[in-house]
Amino acid sequence: MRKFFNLAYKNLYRRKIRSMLTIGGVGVAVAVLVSLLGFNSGYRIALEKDVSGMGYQVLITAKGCPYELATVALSGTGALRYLTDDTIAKVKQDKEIAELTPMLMNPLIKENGNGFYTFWGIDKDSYTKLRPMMQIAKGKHKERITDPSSGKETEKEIDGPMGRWFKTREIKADEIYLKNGKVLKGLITGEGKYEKVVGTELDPVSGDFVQKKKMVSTVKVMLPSRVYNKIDVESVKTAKIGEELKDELYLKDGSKITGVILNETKDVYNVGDVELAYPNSEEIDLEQVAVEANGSPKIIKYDKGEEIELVMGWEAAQTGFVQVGQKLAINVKEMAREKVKEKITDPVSGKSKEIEKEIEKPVSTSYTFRVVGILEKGGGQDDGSYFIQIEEAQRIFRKYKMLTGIGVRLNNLAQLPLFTDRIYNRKELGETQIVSLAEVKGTILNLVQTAKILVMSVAFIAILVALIGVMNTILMSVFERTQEIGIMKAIGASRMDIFKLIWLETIVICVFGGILGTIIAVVGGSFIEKLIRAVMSRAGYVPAGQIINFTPGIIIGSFVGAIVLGILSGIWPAYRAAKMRPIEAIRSGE
Amino acid sequence: MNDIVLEAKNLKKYYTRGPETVKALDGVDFSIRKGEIVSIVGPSGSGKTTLMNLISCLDTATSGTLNVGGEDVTHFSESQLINVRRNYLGFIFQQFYLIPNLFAVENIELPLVFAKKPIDQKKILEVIELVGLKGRENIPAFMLSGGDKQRIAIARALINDPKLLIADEPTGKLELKVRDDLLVLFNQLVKKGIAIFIATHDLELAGMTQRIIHLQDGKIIPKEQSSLYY
Repeated sequence: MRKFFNLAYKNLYRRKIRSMLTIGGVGVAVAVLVSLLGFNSGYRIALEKDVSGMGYQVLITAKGCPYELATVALSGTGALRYLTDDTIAKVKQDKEIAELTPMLMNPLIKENGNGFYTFWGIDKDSYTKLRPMMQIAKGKHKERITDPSSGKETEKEIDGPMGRWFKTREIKADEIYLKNGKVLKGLITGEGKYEKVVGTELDPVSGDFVQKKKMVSTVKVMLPSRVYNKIDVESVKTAKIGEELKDELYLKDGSKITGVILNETKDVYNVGDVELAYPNSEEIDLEQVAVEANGSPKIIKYDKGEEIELVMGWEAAQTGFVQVGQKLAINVKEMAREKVKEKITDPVSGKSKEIEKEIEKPVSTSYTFRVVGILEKGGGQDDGSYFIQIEEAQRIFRKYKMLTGIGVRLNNLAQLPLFTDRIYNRKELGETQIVSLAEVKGTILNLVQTAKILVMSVAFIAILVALIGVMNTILMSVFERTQEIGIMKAIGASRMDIFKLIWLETIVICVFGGILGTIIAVVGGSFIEKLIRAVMSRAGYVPAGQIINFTPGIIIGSFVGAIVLGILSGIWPAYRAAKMRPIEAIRSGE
Repeated sequence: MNDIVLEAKNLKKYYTRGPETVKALDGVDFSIRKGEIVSIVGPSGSGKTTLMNLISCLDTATSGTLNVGGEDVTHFSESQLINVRRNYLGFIFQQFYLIPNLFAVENIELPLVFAKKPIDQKKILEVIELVGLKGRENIPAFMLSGGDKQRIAIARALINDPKLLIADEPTGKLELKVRDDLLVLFNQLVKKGIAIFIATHDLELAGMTQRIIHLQDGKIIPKEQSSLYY
């Protein structure tokens, strides 16, 4: 057999370039196959790692498209919808809840437009309980120490934990005292002015009724309010709760909501719709606001402009060369609403009037933080994220009382369908959606599956082309060697000998092709990974871990596949050669 | 009787070419004894190649008998014929037909490889010495001269200890000096008891053999009737 191998090898060596090209063809096909199989296993593993890295089994979010939710849950990008944070207390009542943690995810567009800073507002205690792998990194590093008296910064080398988690601070709501004795608690976002219609009067000159207007100063405030459909509301009571006067809203399903009713006439036009769970931005007339002894409106703003403590993911810190203890300014682009006045002319009367319009435009903003800790490398999305206290996030990103989701761990995951039913049936929670991470995984895998089928068919075609290529090469060399084969038969080679010889040649080509292809795939794997990442990140979520994973099984499998390819493509040429009649074969060249 | 290496009796080979039947061999009788060197001559189309193919066990006769080593091979199966070729016959071709990028020695070993016989280094060395190729056995065949190629071809033919060496135009591509060397070598082989059967156009070469068989139109004819010019 060794002599046969030698013969086969030397025959291939005789046609070096052709053999090389054929090996190259097989190599490319095998490389495609190995990469695809590697992607197949790697993507699943990376996704599972991301999902299990979440630490919670269930995510409660505002209602939306499941894929969008999956994307938000796993990567922190996508269109966002919000829950209000009173949902936490309400969900907590459910007996199946073991742990829960509220989260506010806020992607900030980098000023250069090149990607996002993903900020997570988290409740440190419950968050780290659910996700114990979120640990402060350890090791030799440099820290910036600020001298409290002089304010001078010095660098110091430390071998130990890279800082700490942020300290949880009490963050109070801003307060607006109203003349009617009620107190509004929210986030004051600015001041405004608008023209209020106070009545109509007869214009003595034109004889028309014109609106009587008055400029009113306002304070802009974000309130955790919701609009309830009037038909769902049973009754409203006002009661003194603690120091404050509050309204109690009784819904027809038996639930009670406590808050401050701002404007009862504010109707929902679509009767029958239960609208929204979004906090409202309101403009409050200063006229409604109580006045202090000195004549100024009784408004208490809590924001003292303190430094916000930031904990960074490993990669975010590494790529930004960030040190523990340093100040970090993040420049971002944000969409801001602005009121503009526009003059329009009525085409019938020719009268022009001014209308007010709200437009959105990008504004450059800067946020400043103090970096207090760097997290251990986890291999997930967290590595590139920024973590601050949830209340701080709600305040600085103007997402007052808003949450993107609540991560939940159930006592018994098998009870999930019942839990889901109970939550969906509670109208006072507004429109919520419960996604189990198993579902999230399934949704993503389904999407990937479709792409995979397409890519696999490309691989199949590549293999088919390689097969035909190998067959062609061998068949050509069989025809070229007709006489030689005839002589071999004359000097004692049986049909089987010739068949074996030609077959061996194809198998040798495919074995070398298999080796080459595996090398290409493994060496070029990181490039292919980058490519897939670039393509997929445009489409949405890509797991953070290695998405191409070459297991021994894949490599051995592809190798065996290449040999099978050789066996298959060699049959026909070998058969042709074996069946040649020696006399005709020898004569063919004369 | 044991001296007879090959014996043909009323050997016929007919081909059908369209509607007509071509009688390539039409009743040929002859025999070759051990240690005999016989040549076969005849013009093109006389049936020389057909006869060569039949006695080489590469083709089967239409009728008649062909005894090779005491056995009638006329009705042998493919594998039986292969065995006869492997154990009883040696071949030398005009074009040498070596495998160019195998070493000389590897070319010589080839019949042993195909016959699944052990590679006997002593025997190989013996054959190499016999054909006068010593010192050049580890050179790829394509790098050797025509004479050396023919030496390899002969060594390859001898490696299986054949009783009958069949040579098809063995001197066709060789220079005169090399041809003379070859004849010396043939005479050595004959002395060892090997029978040699040469098909040739070269009447001078034929004249140096012990016996000449004239073939014309598929039949053996007396020398006087041959259309070949002497």
